[in-house]
Amino acid sequence: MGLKTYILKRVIYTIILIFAVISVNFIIFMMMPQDPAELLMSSKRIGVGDVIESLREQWGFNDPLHVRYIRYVVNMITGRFGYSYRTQKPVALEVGERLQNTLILVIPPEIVSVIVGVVLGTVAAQKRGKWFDNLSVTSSLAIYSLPVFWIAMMLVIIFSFNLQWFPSSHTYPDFWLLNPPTDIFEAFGTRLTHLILPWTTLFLISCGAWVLLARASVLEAITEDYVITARAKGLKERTVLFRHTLRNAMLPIITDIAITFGFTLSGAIVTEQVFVYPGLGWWIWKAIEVSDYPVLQAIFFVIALCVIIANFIADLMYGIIDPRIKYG
Amino acid sequence: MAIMILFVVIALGAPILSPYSPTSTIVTPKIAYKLSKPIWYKYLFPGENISENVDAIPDPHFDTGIAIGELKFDTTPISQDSVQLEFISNIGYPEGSGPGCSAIVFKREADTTNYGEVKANLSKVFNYPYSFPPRQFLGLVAFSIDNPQNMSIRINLVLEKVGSERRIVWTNEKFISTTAKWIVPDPPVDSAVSRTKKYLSDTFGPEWLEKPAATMFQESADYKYGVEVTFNDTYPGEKVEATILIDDFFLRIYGNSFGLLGTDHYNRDIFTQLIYGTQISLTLGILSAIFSTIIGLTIGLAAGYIGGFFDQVLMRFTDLLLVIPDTPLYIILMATLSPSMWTLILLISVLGWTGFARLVRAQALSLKERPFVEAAKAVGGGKIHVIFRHILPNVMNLVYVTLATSVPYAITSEAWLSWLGLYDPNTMTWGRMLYDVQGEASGMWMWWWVIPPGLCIAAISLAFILLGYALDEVLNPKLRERR
Repeated sequence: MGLKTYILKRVIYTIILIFAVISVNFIIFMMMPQDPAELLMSSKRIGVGDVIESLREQWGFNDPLHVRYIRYVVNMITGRFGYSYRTQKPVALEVGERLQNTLILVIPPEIVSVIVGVVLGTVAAQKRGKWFDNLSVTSSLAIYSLPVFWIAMMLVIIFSFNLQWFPSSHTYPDFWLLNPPTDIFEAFGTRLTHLILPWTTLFLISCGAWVLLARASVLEAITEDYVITARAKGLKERTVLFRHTLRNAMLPIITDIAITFGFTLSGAIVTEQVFVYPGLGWWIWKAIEVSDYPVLQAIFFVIALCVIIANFIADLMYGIIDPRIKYG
Repeated sequence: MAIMILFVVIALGAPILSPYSPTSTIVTPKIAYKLSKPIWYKYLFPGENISENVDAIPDPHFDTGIAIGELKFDTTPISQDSVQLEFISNIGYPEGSGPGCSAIVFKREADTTNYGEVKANLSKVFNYPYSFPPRQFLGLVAFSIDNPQNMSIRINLVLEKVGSERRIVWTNEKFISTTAKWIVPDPPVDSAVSRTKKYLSDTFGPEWLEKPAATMFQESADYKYGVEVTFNDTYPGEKVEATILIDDFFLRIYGNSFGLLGTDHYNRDIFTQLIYGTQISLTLGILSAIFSTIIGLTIGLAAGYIGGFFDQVLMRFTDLLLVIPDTPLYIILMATLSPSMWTLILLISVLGWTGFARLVRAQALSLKERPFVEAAKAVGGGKIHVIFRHILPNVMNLVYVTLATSVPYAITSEAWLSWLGLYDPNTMTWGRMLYDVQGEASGMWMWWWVIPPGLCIAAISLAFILLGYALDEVLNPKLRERR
C-alpha cells in the first residue's frame, strides 16, 4: 500500500469520525432535560403555551427524528450553529472569535514546552541516574500531578497579588472598553502581560509530560547500534546526542504532540476559568449557567473537530516521517 | 507508598481525628470565628497579635459533677445555709448535650426565723491572657425553675472585669412561678448580635455599644462570668422550697486563630475539611479506577481475542470516545445530572476506559498468536476457557499498572469539577475547598487555606503514579531485562 492510499484511508476515516461526533452530539443534547423552546421563553419571561408550541413548530421540533437528524448534520457541517439564547447573536460568529482566543492561549506554551521538555528530557536521559536526571524526573512528576487550576491560582497569588507584576484576569484592562488604546505597541504589550500567567500555567502542566516522554524515548534509542557507531567515529557527545539519538527518538514525540493537543485544550478550559479569559472554556461555563444549548453544541463540535484534525495531522506525519511504517 | 498508607489512615480515621463537621454551617456555639488563622501562625510571625479561643467554663454542659467543683459558689448573707449547690445527673437542657446539670436549691424549714432576701452566686473567674481584644464573645446559659411557693426570684447573668465598672448584665424580670420549659436569654449574650446592646450599660459611651468585645476585653486581666440568683424569701413560718436548674453555662471568647489550619468563611475548621476530603478522593479514585479498568479489560479482551467485525466496531467506538473532548463533556453532564460522587464515578467509569482497552487489545492480539494459546486451542479449550485461563493472566500486569495510574486521573477530575462549583453540597472535597477559597475575597491571601488541598491532591496522585511505575518495573519483563 502506498502513501496515497494511506492518506486516502485516513481522510475517509476522519470524515466518518466527524459524522460520528456530530451524531453523538445530537444524541447528547436531545437527551437534555429542558426543552429549548421553553427555555428561550422563560429567559424572556413570556411563558405562553401557544408561543412555545409555535416556536417548536417553527424550529422543526415536531418533525420526525430522522428529518431532524439530517438537518442537524447539514447545519453542523455548514457552520450554521444557530443563535445563542443568551445574546441572540449567531453562534458561528462568536465561535470564531473564542476559538482564536483559545488557540492564542494554547499554541505558544505548547510549542515552548515541547522544545524545553524535549531538550531537558534528552539531557536527563544522557545523564541517567545522576542528580540532574533525578531532579528533572522528580520535578516533572510533581508538577504533572498538581491540579492545573491550583497551579494557576498559585501563580495569581504570587505574581499578581503579592508581587503585582502581572494582572490576574481578563485579556485587557477594563478602561479599554471606553477608550481603546491608540498605540499599537502599547496595546500589544498590555495584552502580552495579560497572557503571561496563563501561558506559564499551560507551559508548566505540559512541560513535565514532555520531559518524561522525551527521556523515555531517548533512553530507548540511546542503546541502539547506530549510537555506538557514532560514538566510535569519535563524534562529539553533543552531536551524538542531538543528531543521532534524538533524531530517532523524535518519532513518538512528534505523534504525541498532536495527540496531547486535546489534553492541552482541556487544560486550557480550566485555565481560562481562573484567568477569566474569554476563550472557549470560559464560554462553556457562561453557556451552562443559562443552558445555552446552541453554544454548547457548537463548542463541543469545534473542540472535537480540533482534536480530530490534530489526530489526522499526527497520522499523516507518522506516515511521512517514519520510513518503517507499514501503511494501514 | 508511605504517603498512600498515610492517606488511607487519615481517610479511615477522619471522624476520630477531628470532632467537627466539615460542611455544616450551623453549629451552635460555633467552633471558631470565621477566617481564623492557624494557631501555629504565632510561631511563624511572632510580631503579630494571635489569640486563641478562651473557654471560660471548663465543662459547660455539666456532664459530670466534677465541673461544679471548679466554679465558685457563694451566698449573701454568707452565713445563709438554706441555699446549696447540687449536681443533678439525670436532667439536662434538651437542646444542649445530654443529661447533667447543676442546681441551686433553696430549702428553708418552717421553724427558722432566718428569712429575708438571699443571694446565690455561681460564677467563674478566669484570666483573659491577651493584651489585645478578641474578635467576639459569646455567653450561653439555660435554666429552669421549680418554684412551688411562687416566691419572687430574680436571675442575672453577669460578665464583668474583676474590680471594675465594666460589666454587662442580662437581667430578667422576676419569676414568680414554676417555668414550663428551659429559659435562655433572648437576645443571646453575644457581642456579634446587635440586640445584645440592651444589656450593655451605657456609661462607657458609643464605642462600648459599637464594639462590645473589644471594649470588654481590652487588656489581660481577670474576668468573671456568673449567674446571680436572688430569692426574695418573705414567707415567715412556712416551709419554702425552690430549685433552679442551670445547664449549658458557657462563655467562649473567640480569638483570631483556631486549629491546625484555621477556619473558612463559614466558621468551619479547614483541617477537618482536608481530612474528610481524603475520604472522598480515595473512595472516588479507587472505585472509578476499578470500574473503568474492568470495562476496559472486558472490551479490550473481547475485541482483541474475538477479532473480526466485532473488533472493528468496538475499536471505532473507542476511537470516537477518545476524540470527544472529555473536559466539556464532564462539565455538561455533571451540570445536567445532579453533581455527586457517584455520578462522577459513573461518568469516569463509562468514559475513561478507552486508552486501557486499546492496550489490552494490542496485548491480546499478540498473545493470541503465541504457541501456548495455539496449544490450548488444539487441546480443545473453548473461547471462554482460553480467555480466562491463558490470556487474562498474561494481561494482569497491565491491569495492576492501569489501576494505579488511573486513580490520579479520577482524583484530579473530581478536583477541578468541584473547583468549578460542580460539587455535592453534602460532601467536602479538596476541589470544593479551593472553590470556597475563590469565593471569598480574602481567600487568596490565606495561603494556609490554599496550599494544603493542592498539595494533598498532588501528593496522592504522585503516590499512585509512583506505585504504577514500581509495579510496571516489577511486572514488566522487558523493563527488567534492560536494567
